[in-house]
Amino acid sequence: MIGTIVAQASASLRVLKTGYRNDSWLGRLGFYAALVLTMVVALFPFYVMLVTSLSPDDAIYSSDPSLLPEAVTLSHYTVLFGSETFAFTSYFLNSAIVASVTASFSLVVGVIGAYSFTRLTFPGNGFVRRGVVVVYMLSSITVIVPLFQVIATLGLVDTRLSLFITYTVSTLPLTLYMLWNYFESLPVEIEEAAMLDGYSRLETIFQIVVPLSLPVLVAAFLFAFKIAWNEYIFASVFLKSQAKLTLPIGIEQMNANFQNVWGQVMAASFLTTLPIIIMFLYLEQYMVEGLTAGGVEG
Amino acid sequence: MPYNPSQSEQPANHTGSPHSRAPASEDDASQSVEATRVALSALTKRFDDVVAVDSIDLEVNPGELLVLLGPSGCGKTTTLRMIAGLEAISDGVVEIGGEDVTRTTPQERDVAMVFQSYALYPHKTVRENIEFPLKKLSLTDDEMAERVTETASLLDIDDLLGKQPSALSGGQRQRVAVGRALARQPSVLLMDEPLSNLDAKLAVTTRSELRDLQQRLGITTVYVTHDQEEAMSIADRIAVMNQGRIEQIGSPREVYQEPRSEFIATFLGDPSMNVFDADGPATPLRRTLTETAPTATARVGIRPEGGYLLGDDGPIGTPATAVTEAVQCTVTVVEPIGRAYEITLRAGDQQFVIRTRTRPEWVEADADVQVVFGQSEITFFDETGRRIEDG
Amino acid sequence: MSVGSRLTAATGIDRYFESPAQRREALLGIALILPSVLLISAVILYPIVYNVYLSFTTVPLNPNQAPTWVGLQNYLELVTSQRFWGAFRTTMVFTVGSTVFSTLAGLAVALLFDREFRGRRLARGLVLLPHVTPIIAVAFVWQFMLSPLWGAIPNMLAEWGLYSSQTGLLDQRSTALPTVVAFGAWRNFPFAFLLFVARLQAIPESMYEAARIDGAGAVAQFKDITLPELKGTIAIVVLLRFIWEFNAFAQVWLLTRRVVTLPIFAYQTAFANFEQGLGAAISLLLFIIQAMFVVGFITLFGEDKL
Repeated sequence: MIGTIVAQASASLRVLKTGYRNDSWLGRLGFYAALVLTMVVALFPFYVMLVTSLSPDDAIYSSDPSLLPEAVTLSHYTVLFGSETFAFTSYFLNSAIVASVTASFSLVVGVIGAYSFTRLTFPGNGFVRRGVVVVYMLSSITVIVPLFQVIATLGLVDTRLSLFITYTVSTLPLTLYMLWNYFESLPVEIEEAAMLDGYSRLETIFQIVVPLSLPVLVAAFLFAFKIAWNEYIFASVFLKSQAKLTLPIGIEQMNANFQNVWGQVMAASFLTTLPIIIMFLYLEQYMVEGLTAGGVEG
Repeated sequence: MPYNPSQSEQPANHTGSPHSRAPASEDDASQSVEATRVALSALTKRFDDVVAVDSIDLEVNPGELLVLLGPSGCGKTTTLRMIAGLEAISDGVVEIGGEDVTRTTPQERDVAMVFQSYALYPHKTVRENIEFPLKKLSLTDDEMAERVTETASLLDIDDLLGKQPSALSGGQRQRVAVGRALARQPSVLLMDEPLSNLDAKLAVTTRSELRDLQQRLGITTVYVTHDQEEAMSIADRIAVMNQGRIEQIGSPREVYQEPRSEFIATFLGDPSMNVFDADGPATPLRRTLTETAPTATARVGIRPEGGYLLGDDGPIGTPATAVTEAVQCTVTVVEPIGRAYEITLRAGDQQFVIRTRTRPEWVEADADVQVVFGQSEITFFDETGRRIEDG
Repeated sequence: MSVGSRLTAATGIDRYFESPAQRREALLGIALILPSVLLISAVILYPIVYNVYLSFTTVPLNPNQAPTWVGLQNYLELVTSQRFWGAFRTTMVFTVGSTVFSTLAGLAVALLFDREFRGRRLARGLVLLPHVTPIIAVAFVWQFMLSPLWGAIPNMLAEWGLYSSQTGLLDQRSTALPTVVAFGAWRNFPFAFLLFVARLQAIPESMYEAARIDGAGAVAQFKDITLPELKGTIAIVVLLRFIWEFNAFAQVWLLTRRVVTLPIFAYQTAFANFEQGLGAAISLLLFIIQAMFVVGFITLFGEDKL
């Protein structure tokens, strides 16, 4: 399908590239055509999202859909924020709180844990480390049923705490992995110098290692934030009351409870996507490092 | 707080741990203070089955600069790190200032270290780098500022205080690293190949500056290097290490002129000592060198400067002692080295190198020459590689 | 006697270390990793073990009542159920399709990006968007694009004469599964892309130069240099994607209810029909399959990969 077409196109381009240092104009044309095709395939849905969210209802529900907006309106956005029907602001805030708290927890627990992995020798270090990578490969669906039982027994159903805990854990393996990869690249002499200067391990972590790792800490925080911000299944099982719903569940309910609210759903989707887009474009290179680290780079 | 009688007369400086030290009052960095003794006994480090440091005994006298010299992998850096507390000690004892510190952490030892990579804190300015160890000393702000200024002027880095380490040249970083180590006025200074990241010329000038500074401060220093020339020029005493053991401890002159083993004899000196098997076909060269050999001799060595070309008026250069009979050789290579020449010679199927200040014109490749050797400069080794002492 | 020292005495850990300083370091190490270990144990390891128990029970709706032991009944019900085997087949098709296409597309785009051009960094960031943006948003926009009444895609397909039906692509089983596969490939190709791009950058240009000097053509260069260098990464991507797609939930569930994979079957059983014991049994089977892949991963790539 689309994938194979692109695959063939660009494989042949690679051939062109490696074959000739200076591309022929034909080769360059082919390259840019493939690039444009890739970008269109990757970004078209986002374009549709934005255009639909800005189109008046009669344009959205016309029998002859057009790819270009004929008129622009902000009415879907004002409905989201202004009307009683949709608790969008509340969803947004809930998501922001849950994602920030989760990412902070994950970072704090991750920094000390990853430091322990990389610099401290104790029996079981390697075993725990491997365990973390294995856990990273597991999916939520494996634990959702028993976890719901546990959460219910603890009386945590419909609380934010249930999400803080479960999200922190689901982001933890990646945070640990990213941080320990980075800590390993730090020259150990700098920490030894601090210890000879009279600083304890803990002081060294917070006065030397943490300031030196700021870019990766930011990336790890944003990754955890992204995972929590996007998460669907735990939230859908654990949360019950409207006031606590996060964006994914809120938007799903909007879509399920009302007919033909595509404009509003697309506006809400766009607002949910926007923070992530900004994050990724702004911090592209850290993100790339983060994702690659996450993928157990080969 | 550990009480340390050997240093109790001067409590203001260089005693015990950094935390126990009374605030420095009038003392300043350049004032000489009572220095600390470091003693290692039966110090051993095992990594799994590998013995990296094998039961070494070593005393570093107060105020002395002792160089641990040896090829890579000989255990010298591991030894230094055990003194610092950065490496766990498998066996044996480290004493600093008469106090057993074997089981203590680096923070408790009051030693400072200059790392090969300098290990400056990249996110701190030069001033903050120097201040960092001082923050652990309970100084007032004024005292701290004063210490920084003193240290900076001592090392001539006053202009750099506001800069980030990344903006400094290699030589400047090295100075800052030394400054950071000294600012705290530690009782022992450890240096791990501090010059190996500098270019050759800068390393030579820096090492004499370091030597100067160390003597002025009178701080007990253990200095690790693999560079025998550096060791010779900077050390009060050299401890030559090989395969986890100390082969010899002595002044640079001693270890050079009276090497205890073939390893030391060949490791020190550039080009290194020529060594031949004592047994074998009785070539003129072998016969000449083994003429006075004790019976246990297995190998015989001669330093390049112990061989002399024979000119019309006798040996060229001035042998300190009687010389041997002449040996007929062929010149293979003549290599000018600064103010001297290294001449590679062949006698039969044996090759060796001599060094000479003056080179007559007729000494060139393929020329036939006569060579004599300083009688007392011939060194004999027994089967185990130990040098056989004279007499 | 502190808990720490009693613990070390009990385990004989102090003999393991050469000095008290080293033991302190070890205890600090354990203390620092403890929060992670406790959290992961509580939220992942304990539930997995508890899941084993639940899968042999019937769980009452009231959380205060204990589950009733029913032995293998849940499993017998599953292996004799048409829906289970249907879901299994669907899962396999979805997983294989989505893995293959996302890997191929990721590889292709990575090869495309393996050269210098203006705006490369921005383009690379943009290509990642399908993978990193909230699943809810992209699933809904796909739903909208594919909607038979208002969507842009059916419209285009109809114009090109490829597909014209009043029933949406997501609304009938025969087309819903391929559509979900396409969505999976679109959503996840950037993941493969990233790993491949990183690997391609690590291939030294000198290898290509040497090959060119030896007269190797473009095809030969791709076959003899690029492909062998990428082999390990391809295997990793395929395995990871396979594991994750096999357990994918939201990415299918939010797009259509017509495609029932095993995770969805488990979710519906546990949280729509409230047969949590049965749901636990499905989850456990999923876990066992996952564990097999993880073990395969480790044996293929060695423990040092972990």
